Amino acid sequence: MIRAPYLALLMLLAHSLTSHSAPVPPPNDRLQERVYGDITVKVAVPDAAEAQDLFGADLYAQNIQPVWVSVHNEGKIPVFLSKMGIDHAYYAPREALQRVLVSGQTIGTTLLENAAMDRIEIPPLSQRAGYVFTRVDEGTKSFNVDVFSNSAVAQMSFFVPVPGLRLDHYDFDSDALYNGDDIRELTLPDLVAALENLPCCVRDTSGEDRGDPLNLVLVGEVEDLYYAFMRAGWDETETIYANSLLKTAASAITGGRYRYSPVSALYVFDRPQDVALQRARSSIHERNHLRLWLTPLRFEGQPVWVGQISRDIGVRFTTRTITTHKIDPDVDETREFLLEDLAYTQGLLRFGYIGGVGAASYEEPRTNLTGDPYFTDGRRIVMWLSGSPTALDEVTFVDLSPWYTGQNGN
Amino acid sequence: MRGLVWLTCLLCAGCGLQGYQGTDPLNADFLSRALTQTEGAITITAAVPDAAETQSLTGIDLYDQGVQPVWLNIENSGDSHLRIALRSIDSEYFSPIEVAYMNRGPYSRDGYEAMQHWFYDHGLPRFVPAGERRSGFVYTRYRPGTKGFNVDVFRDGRGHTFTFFVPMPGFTADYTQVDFSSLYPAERLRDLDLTTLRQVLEQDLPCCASGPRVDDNGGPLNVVMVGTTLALRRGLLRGGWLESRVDTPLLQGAREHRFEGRSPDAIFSLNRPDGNEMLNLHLWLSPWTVDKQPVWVGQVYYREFAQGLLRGIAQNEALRNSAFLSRFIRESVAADIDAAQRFLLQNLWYSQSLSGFGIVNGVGPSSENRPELTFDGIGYFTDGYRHVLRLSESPVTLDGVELLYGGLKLPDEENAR
Repeated sequence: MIRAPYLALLMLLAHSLTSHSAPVPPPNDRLQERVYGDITVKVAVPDAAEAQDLFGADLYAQNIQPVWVSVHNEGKIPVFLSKMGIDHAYYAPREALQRVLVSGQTIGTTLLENAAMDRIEIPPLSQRAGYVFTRVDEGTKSFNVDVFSNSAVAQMSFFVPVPGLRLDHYDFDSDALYNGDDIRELTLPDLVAALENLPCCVRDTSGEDRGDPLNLVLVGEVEDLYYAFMRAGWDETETIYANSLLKTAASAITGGRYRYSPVSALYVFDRPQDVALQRARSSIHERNHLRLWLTPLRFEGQPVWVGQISRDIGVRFTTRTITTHKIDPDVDETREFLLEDLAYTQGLLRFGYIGGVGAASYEEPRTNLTGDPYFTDGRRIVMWLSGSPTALDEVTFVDLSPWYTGQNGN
Repeated sequence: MRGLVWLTCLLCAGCGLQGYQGTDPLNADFLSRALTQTEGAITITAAVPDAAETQSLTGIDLYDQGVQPVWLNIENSGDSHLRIALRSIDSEYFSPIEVAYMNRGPYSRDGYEAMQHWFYDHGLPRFVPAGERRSGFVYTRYRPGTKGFNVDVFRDGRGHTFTFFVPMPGFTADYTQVDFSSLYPAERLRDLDLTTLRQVLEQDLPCCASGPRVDDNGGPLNVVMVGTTLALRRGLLRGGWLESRVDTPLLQGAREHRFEGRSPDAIFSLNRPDGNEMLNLHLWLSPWTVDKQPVWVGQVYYREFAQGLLRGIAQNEALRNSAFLSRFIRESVAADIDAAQRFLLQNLWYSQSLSGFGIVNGVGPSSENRPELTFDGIGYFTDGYRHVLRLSESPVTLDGVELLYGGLKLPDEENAR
């Protein structure tokens, strides 16, 4: 809860309100809306072409993605919008302007500044709308809008699809995967047993060879899953098609940062991954890949996912796929990093460990489908995801050892 | 053609032949600079090898690749195990085998095997059993200057945060050269409460820094920070600010900004991860304290890169009023000086360092049509306020920020812009 002086703080912050211009209209009709008490927030994200039409310059090419935000305050006190919630490295209007000018395009200062949501205060019974200039996220633009008032900090997450990228989960229809009879709601002991009996590893198309270990279990709705991972800086992956393969090849040669490089398909339950995500680091050689499959299991009404995560540490040549990412053989390291990453970005509720993978030592590693060795303690991590931000000190450890079966999946 | 084949053979022969011999870190010289902190039943020792020490330890120039090893020893004298969150040290640390693989080039197969084993064996484990100790390296991204980092350790779900600032040989931070105890004579030191602080900030503190000449305008003193040295350093570390080397030629211009006749006691800078914009923060210790906590007077602004040119213009009466200058100010990032002030506020707020916030008068407004100009050529306009930022040593939640001052009269925006 907010202290009493907070109201005065808000009043004080109102030192720069009176904007006489009409609210900036939205760029398209792909509006999303959330209501929190007296506050209504609407957002819309123009794609590259729409941004070009609006501003007369190619903002996307300069890594600038305008996000239109409207905050309608129907309460009796001012509220405040923080741009840093939307992108912690947002561009001030003039930073955006300079990027466009440096690229040799012309654009008016006034155009950008008048369209910008620059002031952060929204007076009582008023609306303020304008653009916040963020860094480009293709595919789904995910961001938080944080609005402060005297009664609460309203933290709202938005996922706005932006045309131009074909992404894995657009083809994903969870109802088509399992029919009602397949789906099993389980108690915790039964869940542990069922999860330990899932396949140890991913397979290739033929279903014969074993690949990377399935060392992740996630419990949560698909929305919670995207919320948690996007907050932690994960991107979706692009479905493989010719154009994007070209971009990946160029990226492998130059080490450039192409965030949406496609992943190849691995198989569990006789089908390729349902969700593929990646977290880019400083270059394509250093990124984490994650693949998830929906299981027919449910726990406390929530879907249960099984998955695999790897840390790419380089690119090497193979006879099978020509080039492949070399993965860190210490797969447990990568698994524990994911746990920490989700906890630090406040997307994790609970976690625990089970068996199911089977141990392999540093000296006698197993190999994945592309012949890379890996070693592991043989455990799977089970993570319950959170739909709203959960502080680090609220994350709880669940001891699942009483229900261990000692079984490993095939 | 034959020459090319021979060349190729020679190039291939040049790689993949080396063996590997790592060094035992426990005998390394850099451990003599180790710092130790204890909290309850947890003792952590931290040391950071410099570029040359890293090379002699690992045989590889890791600094050149942007990798900086941090050595930690964690002693658990409690009765349950500890978990170390490696991500708290660097959210994008490199894994040990990743560092090895990045450097596989010159080594033979056996050589690489030995190297990978060395890196794996000397990586810091995540768990420390009760009554035991563990040590090893975490491979972080290189940051110039004093190596500042947190180490979060968890016992039974409860977190303990340690913050280290490890000085690095060859890097002298500007503030280490300031004798803070002798800046002001005893009779000038005043401990204030928040009310008297406001009076001092609005009535006694000049609007602006000065420059090489006493009557130069060195830009508004638009930020005032209240907090212990640790709170200040932690807050700026969490916010991603970099400290400055005392002798860097890049900041010579910044050092000409003066308060109380002296250059900034500390200059911090923040670079965009994806661009060349840079925020500068100049800080001076003031003679005032609030509840015994030091008050720092400062200025935050975007650095202009065309400063040499601008300075020439600023010093030329004819050019000062030229159309060029007025056009430049209309597009200049630095001119919107309040944008920098607003960014700093959110930066500290979101990195959970801000415990109190207030706005006071004292700078005076200037507009885009009638901008002010600093001695070093930064034209600017501002609403004319100072932000007072009170910093906390421990993290503060987003809604835990307290109001310090209220009751300001709203400015007329027409005048301000």
